[in-house]
Amino acid sequence: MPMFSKGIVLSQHKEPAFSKPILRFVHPQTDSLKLDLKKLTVQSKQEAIIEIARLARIVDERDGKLLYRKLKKCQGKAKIVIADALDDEPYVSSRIAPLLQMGEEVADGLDLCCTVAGCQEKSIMVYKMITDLETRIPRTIQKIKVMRVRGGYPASQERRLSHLGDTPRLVVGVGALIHLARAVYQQKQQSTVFLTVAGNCVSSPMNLEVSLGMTVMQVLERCGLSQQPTRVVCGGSMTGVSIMDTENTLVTHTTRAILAFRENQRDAHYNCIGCGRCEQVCPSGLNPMYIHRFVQTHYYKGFSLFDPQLCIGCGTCSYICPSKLEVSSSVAKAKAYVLGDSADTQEESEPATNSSKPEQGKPAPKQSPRPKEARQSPEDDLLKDLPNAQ
Amino acid sequence: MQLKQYPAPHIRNSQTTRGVMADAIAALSFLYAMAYYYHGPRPLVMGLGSVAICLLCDVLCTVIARRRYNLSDYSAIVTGMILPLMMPASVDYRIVAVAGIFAIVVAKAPFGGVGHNVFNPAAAGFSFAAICFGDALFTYPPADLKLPLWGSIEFPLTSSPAFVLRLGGTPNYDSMSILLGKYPGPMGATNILVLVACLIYLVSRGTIRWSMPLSFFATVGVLAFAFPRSAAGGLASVVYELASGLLLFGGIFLLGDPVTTPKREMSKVAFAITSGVMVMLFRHFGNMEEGITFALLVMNAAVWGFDMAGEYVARMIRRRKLETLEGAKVPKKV
Repeated sequence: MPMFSKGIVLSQHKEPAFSKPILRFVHPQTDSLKLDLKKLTVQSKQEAIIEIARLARIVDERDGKLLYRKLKKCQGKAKIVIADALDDEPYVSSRIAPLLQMGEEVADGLDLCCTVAGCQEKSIMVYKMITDLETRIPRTIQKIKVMRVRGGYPASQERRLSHLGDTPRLVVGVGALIHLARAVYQQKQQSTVFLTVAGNCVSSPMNLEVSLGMTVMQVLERCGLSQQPTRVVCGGSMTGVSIMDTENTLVTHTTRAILAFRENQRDAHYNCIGCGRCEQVCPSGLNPMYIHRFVQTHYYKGFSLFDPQLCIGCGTCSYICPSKLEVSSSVAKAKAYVLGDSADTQEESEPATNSSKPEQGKPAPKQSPRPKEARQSPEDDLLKDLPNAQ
Repeated sequence: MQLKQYPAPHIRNSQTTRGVMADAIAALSFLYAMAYYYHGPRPLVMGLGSVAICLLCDVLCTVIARRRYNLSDYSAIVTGMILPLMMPASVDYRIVAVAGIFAIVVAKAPFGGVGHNVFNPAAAGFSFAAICFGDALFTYPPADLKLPLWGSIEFPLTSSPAFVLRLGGTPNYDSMSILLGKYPGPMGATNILVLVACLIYLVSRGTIRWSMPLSFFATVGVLAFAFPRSAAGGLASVVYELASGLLLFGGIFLLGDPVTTPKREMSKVAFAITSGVMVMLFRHFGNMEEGITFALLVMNAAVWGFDMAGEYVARMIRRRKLETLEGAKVPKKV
């Protein structure tokens, strides 16, 4: 019996943004910021790269961590470096488009990471289930093998990478790799971020390279609005945050997309009919329907049977729900409740991160406190964000 | 710009509850077409009246309970359409009305309306009618008989194969007439071929899943083979048990009701198997010729238990799987 769903097939809507060339939409002052490398006194090539990554303030867009910290923790340890271009959410192509259009810079960045990690093996991760692309994704990019992640959404890389076993690895987003290459070879500070602007209100959907600190409104106006949106989303269409104040919301390092939608349909007030579709599609094998019902009725005692803390926040349950209920936010509430409740008994509580995916492989904190985790040295912190490597 | 805050995800599947119910309605209307073909317009009037009464009761109950009513979820229509199909075409209109009122006012509304009812409304309505008006409900007009819209039915009413089986006899209908529904029985439940087509349609639309009806029919088949009621023995008994009475109809439309069945796949299978055993128990030892609705009502009360047991097993599997994933000892191909 399939306990763990292989994900759902979503129509990707990546075109027309994907095939258009990436345009620059930058602030002239921040764009010309150069690194001052004269004072750089380091022993080795590896440390030079880490130092440059630190000075250039590069942030990995896939988990919002500073790249130099990731590099430092992996220095001479990782066996494989992987470029993450998994854009599994519909509309979003802000990693795969730069990968195809700026392949050289990505390859340079990968080489630099390999130098730091002291390994030869490198690979690029691409989501396979994108069917509506006009351009074909090649098998190799700059002679680096492209690894195609199969299965529906969510393409949880942690699980797909399980063939690597305990191999220590460094996974870096494509954007961060490009910025690393620019910092090292052109002495440029990271002042931009790649993002997709799309949605049914955007008149010309495209991928942009936008200066950090631009407002969402500026970006939307750059691409033009064909109609007044009712919903503006920062982030992917499945996991992003809908925002109210477009004038004061800024583009940050982890903004992967800005989407503007208009829905004309009225909110239907259906009851849950218990069809069990949410349970069928849940990649963690949870039963969102009961968690939702318990949250609705404030019955918080019953959660131990349902493991809401294993939720990875992918949103498939809400997507599939025929009654259009907010199932995933209920599960998130239950998860927060369970984790918050057991935080006192835990030695280290879960840090709040943007992406909840790394918690995928975590065991239930209350039921099975794992001494293995408590003994972990802080150096393994990075590898911990790839739960399989624990 | 008038923006509203929404939780993620920001795109939704196009399938709605209304769509799920509309699928059931589409499947049921095939059965009405067959009933019209055999018995003339009377089944259609029964169906329309039943739907009207169920809708009316549903709206009234929702207004009285001050709940928000959404007419566009068609659940009351489905209940209203299922009810007459389980009855003979000759049954008094008033019996249909009483069954419909009972289904909505007693079995559905007090529990909280759509999605909250513990017992299947259609099964409850039919059971109530079967207890109150047993004679009228279990005597059937001959197949191929056009019935008058109004007035008394003057033709002799006969018993169905289910009744013959109940007495331990062997129904004398050949397999072709059983497949085509040319034997006296409930007006929606005799057309085996159409019912199978409905099942395939509903499964292909994703409205119901294979696992539940299949395991239900398989259980009934195995039990019928092992303990035949008629003298015809093994395989013939399987055919008669499956084709007679409401078994096939109930296995598709009553057991396919998502509200009153467990949610997880394994709970569903366990539930269907237990229901099959329960139905056969009712058939062997029950008082009436058709016990599937009673068996389902009994089983409905146990859904919560099935679900929780399923969750318990699921938690075990989930945690074990995550532990092996963490260890990542099994090399897997990407």
